[in-house]
Amino acid sequence: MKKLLGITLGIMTALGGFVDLGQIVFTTQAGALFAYGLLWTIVLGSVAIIVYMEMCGRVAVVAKEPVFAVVRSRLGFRLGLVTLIASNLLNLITCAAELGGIAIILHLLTGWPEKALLAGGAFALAALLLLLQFEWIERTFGLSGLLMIVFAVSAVALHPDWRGFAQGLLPKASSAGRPALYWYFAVGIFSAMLMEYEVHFYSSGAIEEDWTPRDLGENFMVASLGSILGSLLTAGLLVLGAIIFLPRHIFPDLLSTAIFAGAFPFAQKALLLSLLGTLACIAGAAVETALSGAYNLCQFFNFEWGKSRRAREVPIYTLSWLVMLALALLIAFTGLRPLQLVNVSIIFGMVIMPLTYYPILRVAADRNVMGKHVNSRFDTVIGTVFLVLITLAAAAAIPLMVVTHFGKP
Amino acid sequence: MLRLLATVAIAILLCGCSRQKIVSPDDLRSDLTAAISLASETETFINYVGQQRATSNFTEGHLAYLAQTARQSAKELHSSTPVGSIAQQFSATQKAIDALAYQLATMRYQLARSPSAADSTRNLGGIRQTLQQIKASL
Repeated sequence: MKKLLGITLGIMTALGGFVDLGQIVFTTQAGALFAYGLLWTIVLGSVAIIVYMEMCGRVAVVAKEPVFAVVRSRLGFRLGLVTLIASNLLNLITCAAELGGIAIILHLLTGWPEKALLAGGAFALAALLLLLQFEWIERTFGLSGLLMIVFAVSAVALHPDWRGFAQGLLPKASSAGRPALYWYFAVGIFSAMLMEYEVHFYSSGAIEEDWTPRDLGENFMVASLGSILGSLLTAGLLVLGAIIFLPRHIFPDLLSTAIFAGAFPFAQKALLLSLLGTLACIAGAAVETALSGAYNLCQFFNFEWGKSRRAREVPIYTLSWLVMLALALLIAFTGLRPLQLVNVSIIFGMVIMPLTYYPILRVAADRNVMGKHVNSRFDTVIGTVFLVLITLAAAAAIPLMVVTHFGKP
Repeated sequence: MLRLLATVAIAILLCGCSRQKIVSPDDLRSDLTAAISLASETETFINYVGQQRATSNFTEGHLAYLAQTARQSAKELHSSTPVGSIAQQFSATQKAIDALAYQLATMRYQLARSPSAADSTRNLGGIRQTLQQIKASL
């Protein structure tokens, strides 16, 4: 039972990372524009995140070094500091967007004023984080996020074209007529699946849960199962976009549109499940980004940290995530649309991604640090291939954003 | 030096704010695509609501977001000027998007209380067809 519950770290990490506000709308839009044509990016992103999540977990367990300690030691203080600032700015923007998303869902559920729900939602999250220990945080958000399965069920219930689905799993160089838009969405989906805060949260979680080298088998299982589940749900969103929106010439640009798609073939109860599942995933993403901000800061400057410790034992860590939530709330209150914020974070997240993944690959392949748990040749080759892909996508992200005006069809 | 930089920055900002956006044929095509999408989505959603499958809070909330999007599009279009060659289509688009924004604003409250009012889709269908015709003429 304990092992089963241990999987919730992977589930929460993957759901909060894969199925957050940005990915929900982004993937539905990709389906509405290119049908099944971008499914391959979900497969690619899933394999990449499994490879790197496993590596991060292994490094955290064996070297007792979470991601940002690795970043500092391998990139040096200056470049490490740049990475820290950029990563935490992205965490902040993403957290603000997720808080905005939480307010939208609560408004759709209750009809109460959105601004009041924004503040209420942020305070409720802060209270939950203060009250709950790490393992209960991951269980709460990981298990409640499973309600998102309603999206996959809806996608199957609408009878997808399985042949087109299978063809979509194979990479294509372009789509007729709109190559820039196609690659913008390809890079965006890939980036959203590899958001830095996932590996920051996952590696810190492995240390929070006192994993030892004996748990390394479980590490691979947790990383794989969580990511496979997240990718199935992401594929479900893309299928819904292809079946519901593409034939009707709809470009879904609202969170509520994607939620409505999740319950499209069913009645009110499915709509409620769709709302609650999305709420759990988005709240999970808000928690991940706020905590990741605090983990990054403390790990980089070597302050005491840990959600499984009492707040007064780790004052800087506790203050850091509280400040992250407070600043995110302030940004959300400015009235910026959550989807605008998250679009920015997805594309800029891609730009700094190599700086997060490169140090992880280096440490995981270093026999002096990892001993017998060093990367196999296969791990290093596949990790390097993905690092090259990440770097190419990082180089293309901003030009694609400019050319397509943030993916406007 | 700082004061000079601040003055220049404010001047650039004010120029940027005060200048009307020039709409090219590609811009107008993109605006039309978004408006057609909005009209089509509203039709689809109203049919869904008509089958009693949405909660009243969701119906009212989602229609409010759709209405807000339409209002925003209409506002942006009114603060823009077209390049000469598309003046006629631009004006027709303005009218159609205004009609869409008005339709969405009025049906929002009505539909949340009376989900069977699926008749509203007839007007929306007309607006969508008009938008499609304008797009085809570009």
